[in-house]
Amino acid sequence: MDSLVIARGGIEDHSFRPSRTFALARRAWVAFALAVLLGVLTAWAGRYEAPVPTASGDGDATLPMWRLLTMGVGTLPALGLHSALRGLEEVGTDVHRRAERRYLLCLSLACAGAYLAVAASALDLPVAGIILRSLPGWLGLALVSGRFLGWRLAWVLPAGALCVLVYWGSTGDGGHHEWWEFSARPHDDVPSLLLSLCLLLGGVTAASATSWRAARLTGGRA
Amino acid sequence: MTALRLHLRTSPLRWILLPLVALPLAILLSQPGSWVGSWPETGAAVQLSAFFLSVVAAGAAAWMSGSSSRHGLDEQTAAAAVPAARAEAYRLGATTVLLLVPYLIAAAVGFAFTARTFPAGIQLWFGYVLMGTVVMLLAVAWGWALGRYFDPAYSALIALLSWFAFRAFPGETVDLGVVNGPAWRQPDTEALLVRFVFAAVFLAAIVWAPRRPMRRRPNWKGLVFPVTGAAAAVIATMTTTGVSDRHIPENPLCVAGEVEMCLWPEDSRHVPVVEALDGRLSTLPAFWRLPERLHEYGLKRQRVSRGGEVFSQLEGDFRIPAGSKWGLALDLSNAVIAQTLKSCDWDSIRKAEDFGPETLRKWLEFYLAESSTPEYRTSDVSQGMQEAWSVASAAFTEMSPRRQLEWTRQQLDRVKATYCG
Repeated sequence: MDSLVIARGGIEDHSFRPSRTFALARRAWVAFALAVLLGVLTAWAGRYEAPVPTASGDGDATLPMWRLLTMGVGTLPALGLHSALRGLEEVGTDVHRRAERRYLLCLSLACAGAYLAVAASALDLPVAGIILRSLPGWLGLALVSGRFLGWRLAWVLPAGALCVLVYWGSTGDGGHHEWWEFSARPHDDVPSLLLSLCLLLGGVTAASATSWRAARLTGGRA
Repeated sequence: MTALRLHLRTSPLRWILLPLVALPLAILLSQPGSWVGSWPETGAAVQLSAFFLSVVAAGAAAWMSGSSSRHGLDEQTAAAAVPAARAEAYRLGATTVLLLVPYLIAAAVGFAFTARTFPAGIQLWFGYVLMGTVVMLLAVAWGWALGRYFDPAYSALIALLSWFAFRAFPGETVDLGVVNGPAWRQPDTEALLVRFVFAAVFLAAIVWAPRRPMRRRPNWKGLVFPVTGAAAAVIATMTTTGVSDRHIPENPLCVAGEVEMCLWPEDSRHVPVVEALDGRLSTLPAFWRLPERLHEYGLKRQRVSRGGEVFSQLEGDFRIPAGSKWGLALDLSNAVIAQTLKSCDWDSIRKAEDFGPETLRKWLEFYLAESSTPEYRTSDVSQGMQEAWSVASAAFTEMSPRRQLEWTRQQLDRVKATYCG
């Protein structure tokens, strides 16, 4: 532990800024640009609703475009964690992990903020509320997926979940949704909010479960 | 073939094959309605799973497409003795096969369920399965193309979002897929084969596209073939009709009984429901007039003039959605009321807002279905209609069979005395 502190002290002496270096090694600007682009698309065609097949057989079931695009925005920060040096970074110290946490927080807030700022101009307040509530849920799913499959595959779980939510989430009762359909239920729905936050919590937990920690927990070797 | 087999055995997609198989199977087996026993419904149910599976396939293809760049093998691939296009063709081929396998497994499961009774119309199953195959091929081609040119970290998300948006939004207008497969509709196999060929051309054309052309100096000439392939696939899809109305069959399946009811041969699984409700019709007292023969929707055509243009449209007396007795009971009650009150002035009934005939019809529906709780939902029902249904429900549930007979007789007499000559 002493050697770590010394090493960290040495880094700080040379004005090394881990968070900046961490961000520079990744293409966060692409995630941010995509969030803005998705915001523009949402403002332009977010209200457009397409008929979708559902398990309830509700012929009137539709999917508004903003729901689809919100999933994309929620996944972007996790994809933004991708690095070509993934293998090396596995052995990163707490300096690296702290930089990762800051990067994820800043990128998530930037993507969500940019998306909502651009899209909200054309959406009703309740819809903006649903988007705001579902973003943590999507991010949580993306973090779980990214942690286990690699950050480049962070889209797998959100994409699979979207299929499940769209197909099985509709009750077939005139546009009503199951209690677990956190991406579509009314903006003031408490179970959806709790579920969304739980998913985020799960995602953050998964993201912080580095291979070292996992090994310590399971009693195995790192 | 050896190289393709090698790619199939080593592709990382094989690790997610199990969830990829589970998705279409879960969609197929949880679908509402009884698709089992009807080839067109089975084919449409299988094809429906391609809607969602293609979204995942587009993302997976984009991810696989960037695998060379991901592993920093672009230069090695370009300098290899084997042409880069051929090496990529193997990877693309293996990816296409692995992403088609889950869909084809779902198709095989659907086939196995319906093959037990083996009704008529297997070509309709094939047509719908082909329809879903085209969707899968287009999704893989789209994902692979995006994966080649976009940032490897984000290409899969861009591919699946754009494919989902295309599939759900404009894709609806070019009938890339269907929600159900009623017997009176048929997939146009020839048009779908044309789509299939052009989707395959698009898939092949991508391989010949220059790799990362925008990075240093754009190779515009190299883009001619893939862009032409993509354009041909889009034009072939936009200019062909995937599903169309069928011609009336020469020998429909007619079930003899109190009322002869004719079905599409593909709907032979509905014969027990038809016979059961015909049995109920035979127990009605004589003051109810029954039609001689009724046809399932699509077995009749009617010439319609609209805007000076004359065209024929499908007609029919009844439908049996999802094999439910309620759909048939509803249509049969309408047919019996229309026959019984044939000589009545329906304009006067409507003007007077008299819901007496509707009360009787609803009672008849309950009587035929032997229940007062329909399986279907209704919306935007007027107050008068709701009251009429309540009266019918109360009569059916609270009165004795003998009393119901007297009550319906009285109601009919009143309506006839007021509106019928």
